[in-house]
Amino acid sequence: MRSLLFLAIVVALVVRYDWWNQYATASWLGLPIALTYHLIYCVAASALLWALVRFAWPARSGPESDLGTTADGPTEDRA
Amino acid sequence: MTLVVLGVYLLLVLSIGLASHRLFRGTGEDYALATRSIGPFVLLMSLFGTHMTAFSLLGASGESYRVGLGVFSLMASSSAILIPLIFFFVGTRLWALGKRFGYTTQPQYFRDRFDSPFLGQALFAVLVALVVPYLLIGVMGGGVTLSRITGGDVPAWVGGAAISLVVLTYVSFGGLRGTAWANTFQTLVFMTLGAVTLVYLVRQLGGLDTALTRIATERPDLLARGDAIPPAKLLSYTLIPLSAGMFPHLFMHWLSAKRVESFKLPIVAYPLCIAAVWVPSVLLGMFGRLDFPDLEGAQASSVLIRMIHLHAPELLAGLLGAGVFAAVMSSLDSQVLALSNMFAHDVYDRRGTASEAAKVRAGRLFVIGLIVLTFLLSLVADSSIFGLAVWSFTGFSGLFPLVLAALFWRRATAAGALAALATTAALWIYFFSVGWQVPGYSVGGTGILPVVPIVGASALAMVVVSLLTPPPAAATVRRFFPAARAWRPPGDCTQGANP
Repeated sequence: MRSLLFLAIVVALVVRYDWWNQYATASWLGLPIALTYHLIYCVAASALLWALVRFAWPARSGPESDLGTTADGPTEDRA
Repeated sequence: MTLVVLGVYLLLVLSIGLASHRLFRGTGEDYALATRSIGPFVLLMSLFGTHMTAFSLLGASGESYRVGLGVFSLMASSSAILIPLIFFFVGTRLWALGKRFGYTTQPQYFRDRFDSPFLGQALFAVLVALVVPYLLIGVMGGGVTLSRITGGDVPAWVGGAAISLVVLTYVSFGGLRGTAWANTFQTLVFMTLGAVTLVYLVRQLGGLDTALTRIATERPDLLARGDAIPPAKLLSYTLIPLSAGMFPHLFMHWLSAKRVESFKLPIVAYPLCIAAVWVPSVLLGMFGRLDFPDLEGAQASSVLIRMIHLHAPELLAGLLGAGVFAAVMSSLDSQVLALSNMFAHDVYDRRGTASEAAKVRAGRLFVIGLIVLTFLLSLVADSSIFGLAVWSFTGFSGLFPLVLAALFWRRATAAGALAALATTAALWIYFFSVGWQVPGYSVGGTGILPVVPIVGASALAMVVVSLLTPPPAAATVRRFFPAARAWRPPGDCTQGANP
């Protein structure tokens, strides 16, 4: 799942470049396509990020921590 | 009436910030990070409010006035995906390290990570230099707003002074808790009023279809990126949101989170919040051409305020102006506080001997000095808000390889980090000196923005110099990379995973 999600991130970064809309002035869903496309992109980005948070959330605290961090305990002194 | 509404709004924000002082625990950590107690919603509002400034309302609408709706694809959609990813991959890691080692500021982390006190001090100097233009945007935005919304009856310096004074007061007394509370309120205000402004002004223009039809007739070039935003420019702008990885004010808010799960809501909701703010900005900026077809240069930054002044009755104009004030102040406060924390911890108390009270006092005095300096600069600055912001972001993006290497590359060395820092500073100064007065400046006229060579050279300097210098001490590597022992195979998400 994580691999798929990271692939989806790469795809999301690529499709931001909607070169096919460079000179397009037509309307789509009531707005110029140059705006509609990127508005929908934002909604899709949110969905992708939800999936990332849901399925690939990092263990940053507690016994599963990947950085040696305790859940809610006191912080260590800096060296 | 407009002034009364704005005055009431400023008093309201001030009282929220001051109210938080009742919970102040008198420690440096409480002043700087609210004792790491911020939950998901306030974290989202703080991060978003801090990030969205006069740039997002006045700058974006001004740039849309100049080049059209393509501005949304330049900044908003790239920020919508990259900034939450930075929260996910960088922010959560820095939060964990901050919690584990008690960090309060960026220089503390980088100084420890690279075993180099000098790096911490050099970084402080560079960060301050890069944040000042960002602060300037806010103070200028406040001035432009008050001046234009009153039809020029009130000079711009009064608006700049008013928001500076309010921010100065509640940041000094409330610290991060006051800032986070005020930010939450102000972010809700400017998001709501942004939508209200769009609906109201579009109705005044005869409705969305009518306004778009008029634009299609009078200025069809504004409906697409066309030649105004060539593909190279669009590609270049992808690197601008990397600046979020090194903003001291975002770093500060990351560290204030109560637990790592507090990041989930900001990560998921960020793209939607960006769309909610940027869509009204770019649409109204473009529609500004219908009312004010001939604004030139920095005047375009005020097109939104001019439209409000032209169409809205005084009470509504005051409310809408308060929305712009909210966006401005919600950034200004966090930026000032972050710099004040760095000054208190990394300069004033660099030997670690100062008392908590003395650190808080030093931070407050630094806040005063910084606000006064920014205000004085705003009196002489005459630049496009969008342009000024992009220059600031460019510098921060150049520093992104620093945090990336610090977090993910154990072979990165202090010399490599210093090389990246020096490369960014040198190239930024060079490009700024040749390009800051050239609207739409690109490297050699290629359409490629200075951010591309700066980020590339910074990354190259980090890698090459790190490989040419002795590796960091084993103890340092073990301290910052314990994950190697706990790393699970890809696909194992049952107990959480390590991105």
